[in-house]
Amino acid sequence: MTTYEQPNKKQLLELAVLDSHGLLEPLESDLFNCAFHDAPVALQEEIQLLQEELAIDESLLPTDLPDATLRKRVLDAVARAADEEANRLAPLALIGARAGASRRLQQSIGTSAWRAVAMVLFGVTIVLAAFAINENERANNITKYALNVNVEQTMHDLVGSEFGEFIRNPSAPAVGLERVNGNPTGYIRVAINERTGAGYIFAIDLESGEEFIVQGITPEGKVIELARFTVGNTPIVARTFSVDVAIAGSLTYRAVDTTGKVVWS
Amino acid sequence: MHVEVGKQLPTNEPDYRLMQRVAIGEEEAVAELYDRFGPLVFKLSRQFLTNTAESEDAVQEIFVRLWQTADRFDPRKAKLVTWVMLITRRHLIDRIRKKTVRPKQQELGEHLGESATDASPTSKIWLGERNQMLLQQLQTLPELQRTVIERAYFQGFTLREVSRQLGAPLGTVKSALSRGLLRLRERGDKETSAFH
Repeated sequence: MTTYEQPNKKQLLELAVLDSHGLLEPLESDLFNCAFHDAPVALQEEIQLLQEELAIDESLLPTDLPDATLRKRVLDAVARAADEEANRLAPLALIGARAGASRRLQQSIGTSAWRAVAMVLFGVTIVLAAFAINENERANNITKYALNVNVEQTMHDLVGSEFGEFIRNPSAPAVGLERVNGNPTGYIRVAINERTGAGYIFAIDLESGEEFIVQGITPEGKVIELARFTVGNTPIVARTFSVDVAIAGSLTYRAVDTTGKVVWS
Repeated sequence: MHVEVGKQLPTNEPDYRLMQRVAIGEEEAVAELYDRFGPLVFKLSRQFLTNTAESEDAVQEIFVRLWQTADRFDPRKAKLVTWVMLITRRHLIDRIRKKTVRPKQQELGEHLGESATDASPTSKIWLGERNQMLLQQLQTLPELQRTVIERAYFQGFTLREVSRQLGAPLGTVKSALSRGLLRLRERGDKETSAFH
């Protein structure tokens, strides 16, 4: 766990000014964000107000206004970037022996849908990074799978629509589980939103047919079943679950097989 | 103490929903974002960059960056305008850093002995004629505050680089920069109100 010294109010306000001007380095920016979250509500509100005032302050800005044509150029630039992103990520579904079928798929779902698919695929990339695995190898597995099915529905089925709410959410710290037998194959990660009790479990690169139950354990030792998995042929499986918000931040996790033997911890 | 516990992501909050729509590339949402913040983003770009064409290029890049980062916007942490301007300023600073025409440390050092009341050549080079009010206000700041603002904010040096250049502790640079930026805003407000 990373620890840091909580800045005092004066230091925090100084950092807020520098942050709002984009002058903090990434690490300092992260530390500022942590300090902000840990600050009293009144100070958080003071910081938000100060940063808003700095953001809208035009007193020293030039008075030039943009040309009317700039609006369209901006919209075109964003659309172009979105299309490029979609095209960059679409090969996950377009390359390979079944490209003909995939091209028909591409024609059938349209550009805007491809942007949405691209966002999902991008999310999968993030998930893969979060699992810290060999990205190329896993991307190949996903490619093989994606070639065979409707991509949009597949990615939705694989990782659900909820995973975006958990990835990069500071309120939903993720915990990784490892096989107790030391076999490095496969990863399970459990994320739980401590503010809502909503949880999400990703599992990747598991053996086909593998069955396990992810459990949460309270500090008092009470065992709660969070989700059951039977691994099919997909490279990623995911489930949502929900627990009482009062215990959301205190659970530890493990996975047991169908006989109750702990296989992941 | 973690005071944010229990404060859920306000998914019905209009600005949050707008940015979620921006994130999936919805054209109407991007248009709304531009209509609200385009002029402000352009003005800030004009302050940083040397000509209109370069500023217009930067505005397009900034809105692409806003699209790329839209799903990270958290209304519990900041207002949308704060987020937009943060992304804008970071992009402009990055853009300046990528340029290879930043003054060398030796050239910068030549200006250190100048009086705070003199118009610094460095300021003139980087801020140009269109920022006369800002230039005037910069000259009223204590020398350290003026210098760190010029170098960190308008020339794109990192705070550590500025600290090394000036031989001043990083904390001193941060404090001077923060105080200077706040003082500029306060004086800008006074100047603006004097015109009305």
